[in-house]
Amino acid sequence: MERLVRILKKNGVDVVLSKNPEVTALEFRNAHVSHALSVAEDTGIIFMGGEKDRRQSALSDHHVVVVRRDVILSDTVSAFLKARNEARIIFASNTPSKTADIEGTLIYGMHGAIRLTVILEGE
Amino acid sequence: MELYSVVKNSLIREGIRRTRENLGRSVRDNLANHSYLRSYSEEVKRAKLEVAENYEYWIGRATEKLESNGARVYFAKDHSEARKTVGRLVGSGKTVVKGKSMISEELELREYLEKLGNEVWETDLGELIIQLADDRPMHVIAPALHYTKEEAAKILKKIGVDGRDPEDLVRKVRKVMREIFLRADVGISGCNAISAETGRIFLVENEGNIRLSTSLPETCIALISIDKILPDDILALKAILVQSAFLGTYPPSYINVNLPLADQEFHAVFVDNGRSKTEFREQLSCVKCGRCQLECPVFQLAGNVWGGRVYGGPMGMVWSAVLGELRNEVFMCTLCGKCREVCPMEIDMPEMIRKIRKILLELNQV
Repeated sequence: MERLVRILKKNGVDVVLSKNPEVTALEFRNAHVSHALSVAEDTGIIFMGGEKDRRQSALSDHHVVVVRRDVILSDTVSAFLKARNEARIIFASNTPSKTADIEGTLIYGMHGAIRLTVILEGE
Repeated sequence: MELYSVVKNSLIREGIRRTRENLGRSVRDNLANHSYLRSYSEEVKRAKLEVAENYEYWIGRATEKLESNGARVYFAKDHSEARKTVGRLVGSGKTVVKGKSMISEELELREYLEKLGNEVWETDLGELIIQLADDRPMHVIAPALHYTKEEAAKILKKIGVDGRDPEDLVRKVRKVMREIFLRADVGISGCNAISAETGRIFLVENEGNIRLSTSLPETCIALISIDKILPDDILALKAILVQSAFLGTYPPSYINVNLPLADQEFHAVFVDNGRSKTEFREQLSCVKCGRCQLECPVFQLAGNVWGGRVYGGPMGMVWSAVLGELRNEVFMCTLCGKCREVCPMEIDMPEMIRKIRKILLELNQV
């Protein structure tokens, strides 16, 4: 878990630890909230599923993802396989949208979410 | 641009140097932190070359899966057939949003669709700058690396974006482009990998433009160069992970695993364009990460002017040959071997460049 938190933070993600992530998610009223199907601990890649979720999360300025402890897997291939079994349409994010196309300067919030918050089940 | 003016242009050299340093550092970190990436590269190379032995079979398998998922599938043997196919699907008077795609550069698709009377937008920021500047991409991953922020600001004024600095420019481009995404009739994407097992199309990106381009418009067209076919989902996933790691962004911000959406007209166009018949088969395992371009001493001086019409640098010399164009510029290669050394697939580009030289000499076309 510590490794995942470190990787997500390095990727520009706001990380919130919560004993009850579903309840914590209610605090983000102006954000689009998704539920992770699976997460790769070694990369921070978060798989989600569903057509509506894909569209709405792509359009949102602030994307919040709820991650239950039991969906965290060791690596990306395992996380992909779990997600594939649970949804027809799958997609993954692990940072806010970003670009470095102007002089290599990293800027978050290009076309997709400007902020990505991950609520991890934990203490 | 003419070669000597590029060599004298310090901005191009500086842009390449900066990109090489930034991405090179990231690639080294990615490989140090994720030791499995090397074995993924080997697996993906093996699989791609196996598929290249019998494209007809694998296209058939992928087509079957795509159709069972609800896609309409087309096959184009060359550049002209591919453009006409996409042109027929798009028609005229449409607003088209495009994700960055080298196969569309190969087809000069934006220009073609514009001639048919469509409003076509590159949606990747670097590609948008290139479109507005009427230029060509300098590098496969960092197309606008040769523009300063002042030049980018000046170019973006053409679409009413008036920004102080990169952050301000990005915010304002986002606003302009969001309105275009919402009214777009057609979204066009490339394909980083396709699984013949399931027909899933894998696309990686950082900006979110591909997700919007393939999620919002009612019609979506995926351009698939046949070298992107992999036997199954896991190999397709590994291919995009390798590509991302070696282009310097790992993990990629977004992974899109696309299938037709319920209310979407989805077209998949396979493009051969010289690939199935080429004698330069090893090049078909290339994941187009652009490492060879940045590390090449000739590219560092001459940029994309040293290369083919579409692809610059060492990969450009060989990809041009795959597409049927033998370039005299192969004789500028120093054969230093740096391209092979940094290539995730260890493609022997120097050997293929030697072979192209030999063919040109035998044809007496130097």
